Amino acid sequence: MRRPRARRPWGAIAIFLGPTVVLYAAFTIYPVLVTFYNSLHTLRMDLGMLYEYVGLEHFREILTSDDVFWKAARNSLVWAVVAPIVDIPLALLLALTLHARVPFARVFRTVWFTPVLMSYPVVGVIWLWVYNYDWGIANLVLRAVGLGAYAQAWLASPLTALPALILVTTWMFAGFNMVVLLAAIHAIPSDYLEAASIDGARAWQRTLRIMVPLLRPTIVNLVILDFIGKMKQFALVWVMTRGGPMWGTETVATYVVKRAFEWKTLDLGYPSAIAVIWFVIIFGLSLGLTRVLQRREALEF
Amino acid sequence: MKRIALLTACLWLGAAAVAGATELQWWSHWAIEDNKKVVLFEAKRRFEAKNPGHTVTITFYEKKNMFTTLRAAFTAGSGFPDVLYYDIDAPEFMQAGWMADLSTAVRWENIEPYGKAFWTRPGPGGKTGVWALPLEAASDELYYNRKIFRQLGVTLPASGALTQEQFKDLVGKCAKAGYAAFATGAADRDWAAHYMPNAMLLDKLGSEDTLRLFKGELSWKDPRVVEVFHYYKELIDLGAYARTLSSMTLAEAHRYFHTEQKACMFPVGSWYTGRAFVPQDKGGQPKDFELAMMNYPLMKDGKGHNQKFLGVAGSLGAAAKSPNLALAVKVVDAFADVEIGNLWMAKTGVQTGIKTDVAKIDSPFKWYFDEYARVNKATKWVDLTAQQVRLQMKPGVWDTYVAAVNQGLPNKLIGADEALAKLEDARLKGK
Amino acid sequence: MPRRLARVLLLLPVLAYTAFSAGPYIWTAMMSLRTTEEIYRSHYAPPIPAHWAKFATAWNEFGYATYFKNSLIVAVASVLIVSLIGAMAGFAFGRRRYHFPLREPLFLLIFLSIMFPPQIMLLSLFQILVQYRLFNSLAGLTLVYVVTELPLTIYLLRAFFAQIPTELEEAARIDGCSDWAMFWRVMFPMALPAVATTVILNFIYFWNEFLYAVVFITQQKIRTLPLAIQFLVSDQYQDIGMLATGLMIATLPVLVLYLFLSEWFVKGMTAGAIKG
Repeated sequence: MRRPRARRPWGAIAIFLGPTVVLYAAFTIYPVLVTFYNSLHTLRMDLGMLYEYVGLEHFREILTSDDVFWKAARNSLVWAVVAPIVDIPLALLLALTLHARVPFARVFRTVWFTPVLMSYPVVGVIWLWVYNYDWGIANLVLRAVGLGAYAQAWLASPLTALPALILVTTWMFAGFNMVVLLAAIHAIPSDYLEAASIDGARAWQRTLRIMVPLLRPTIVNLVILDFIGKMKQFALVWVMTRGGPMWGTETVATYVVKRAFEWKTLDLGYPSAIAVIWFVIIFGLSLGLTRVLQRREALEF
Repeated sequence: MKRIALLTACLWLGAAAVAGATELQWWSHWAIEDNKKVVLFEAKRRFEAKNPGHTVTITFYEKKNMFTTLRAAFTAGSGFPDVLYYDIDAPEFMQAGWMADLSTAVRWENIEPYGKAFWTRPGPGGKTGVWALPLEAASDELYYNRKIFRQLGVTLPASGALTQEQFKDLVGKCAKAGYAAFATGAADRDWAAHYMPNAMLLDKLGSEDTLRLFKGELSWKDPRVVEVFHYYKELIDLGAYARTLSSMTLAEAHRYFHTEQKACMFPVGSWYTGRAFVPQDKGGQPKDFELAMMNYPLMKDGKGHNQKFLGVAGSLGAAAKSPNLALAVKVVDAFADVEIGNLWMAKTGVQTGIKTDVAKIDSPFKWYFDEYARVNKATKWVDLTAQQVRLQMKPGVWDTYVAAVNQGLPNKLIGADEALAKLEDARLKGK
Repeated sequence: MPRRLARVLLLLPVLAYTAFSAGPYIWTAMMSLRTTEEIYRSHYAPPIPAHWAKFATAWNEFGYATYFKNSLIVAVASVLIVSLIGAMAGFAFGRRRYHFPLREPLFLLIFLSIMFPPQIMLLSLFQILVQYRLFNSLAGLTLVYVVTELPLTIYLLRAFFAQIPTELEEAARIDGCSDWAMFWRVMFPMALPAVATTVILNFIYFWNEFLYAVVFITQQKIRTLPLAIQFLVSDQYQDIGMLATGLMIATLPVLVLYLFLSEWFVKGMTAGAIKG
């Protein structure tokens, strides 16, 4: 049965979508365009936002001679690549463990999920204490198990500071990823798993072999989400290390804010150009990652 | 009748005062320095007494965050305070036209001439003004823990200065006994680990060449500079700095020095006392802590023996665009008073750019003033401090100086030659 | 019984991870009840005696009352607005009746902005807020928050509205429902469970947001909790005890709610991840 084609309810469409379109245009599209425009100028904050056209000069400088930008980009990328590699297998392991009907599984799930509910400043302060050289938990544990020689000021060296921060985000997000994976596991039809749940040394292996492909879409989602999240990382660094020591934890996000409000150049144009470059990179990599991961999935099924 | 008229007039005036009442905002550094706060609150009290109906609210910050926030607020033209703590960490504020010119509105006769001269600088459009009132003045000093020195069997000559060999020996002794030589913490100050190298460069090169070096007119490859850096690197390799150097904040470094007593010496601005001379539960030094002062080591063939950096530090300014500028300036002016100068000295033990009447200062820190006078008996002051080096250097060189000398070198991440190569590189880039 | 044994053995790594996961927070909770002097004497001693009064001190003297209020205002206002606007848009995007050319591209555009790094808008939003005198105001911050979470909210609610069967809509329409009544009386109440998940997701995000707050707020009296904590860390770094109390004030309300509504929280927080 085909109804005669109703007139399009333009009035209703306007009411329902109007606020979104207006807000989106004014506070997302317009600012993005302004940032692109600003990136071609120096924009002097001390002279009442005075614009001076410089063309692609900022981009040339960033890409050819700004060592700090490259350090920041490297740190952000390392973070974005390492975090999913650590977080998600760990989360999967935790999820499978809980799935194996460990007693009090609900309690553990509830506890593990908690860190993700805290803000970065809160987490940052707590972990500043954890990493304290003299009385932090990290060194306390090392000394307790006889590895006192490895006790160190974790945030003091560029070699250990970034891994130390990555561990903090793992602490925050492993439980979260675990819960998502656990939900996906529960959604797997149980007859698939019956076959795998026979006791024996290879039960685990079999479980993995059957489950992981079934969980693939979820894992892909989590990887992309984790990747994008870490590429944007700002708050934790701002509270814990401010990018130091020696730019060892500088991320692109912190560098943008520093160039805008901490440098005495008082120019919004240069950091805007950094933001544009980073925008293109994140966008490209995220889309590429989605493509690659999802295409492989399509091939396999 | 006349009386009633007068009474009405009084009431009317009172009402007017209330109607025109303003609440001024004042942002200040020194969040954890209670003895400085006493002076600020006294000035606030005096201002409010003299200007009935108007009040001042002080918000305390740690200054790194404060300056970042101020940049955004001034640019936005909203959300900035009327009165603000100001110092040379943010020199661009003057030229940006964010600071009010105080040249006519403050009783400068009560301010030391060098203090006024320090803040007399070109402002927006090159027009000269006086941009802040020099509240705090400080020299780059070297404090030490007398008890530890006694333990280690170290004695100092009357001049308080060791030769560079003796000093190296001292650093080695400290390290061997399990102490850091220096209680420096560089986590939240760009210049915290600059005191030793700055002082040694000054002693080696003399003031003139040191300034040329900082300004980029002298090469970082100059053999004398190389010698100082190599010597400095030897001290570092002996274990001069705590392993926690770059995760320790300035406030923690104080604690490390006087409460935990894990370091022999503390090279730092003479505003040390601002944090240390408060009750112990507020972060001050313990009653039985034996504070003493010495001089920086004498470098071989040094041209700058007895020279030491001294300069204006924490100051006070008004926001040029404050809607209550006249009142804001009055708050600043409340400090231009010998009584406030005396109170500052008495409470904090830190020098001040305000004139003081030493005879009238009644302070529990008399012993400290004597110690300070003794160690600086022969000192020839050079107008610069570790915090002000930034002013002399180009931004790119300063950034490198922070990364290489405040972080890299003392953390043993890079060597002396590498640090110098980076600095020379930055100097030649000329940015 | 080997199977039982295996399960018990599994408990070991599980307990180890639990210690890692909960340890730091429990440690902070203990410190929040102790004075800084006590903490410096021994960092891991139990809070005996417990100084409950510290919470009152933090609340009254260290400004947490104000910061808490600010966070609550911004988070609640943002959640209300974004839920309503997001539901309206999700409804229009999800139902066939409202199809128009370019609707799908528009939706795709909005959806893609979930991936935008905030820096691409941060500095220009700063400029824009200054221009419209929304800088340094909770209203401005609320506006920005609404805009940043709008795409995800629309995305999640659209999926929900799209799967409501058409028969229902048609039945209601025969009863003479206008488009608005259809949405507000019929569809929105049906969508409440889905809306609730976005409410939780968004609330947690707003409650914890830091980047925009740190750039758009400079005045102390309108600081939100995360911002306040950042300032307090540097202002009062030495006062570990009081800082720990502040951290508890900033986190406890959310954690207590979570204890009672943990299923809802899990659903809300993971909504973006499962469907995304």
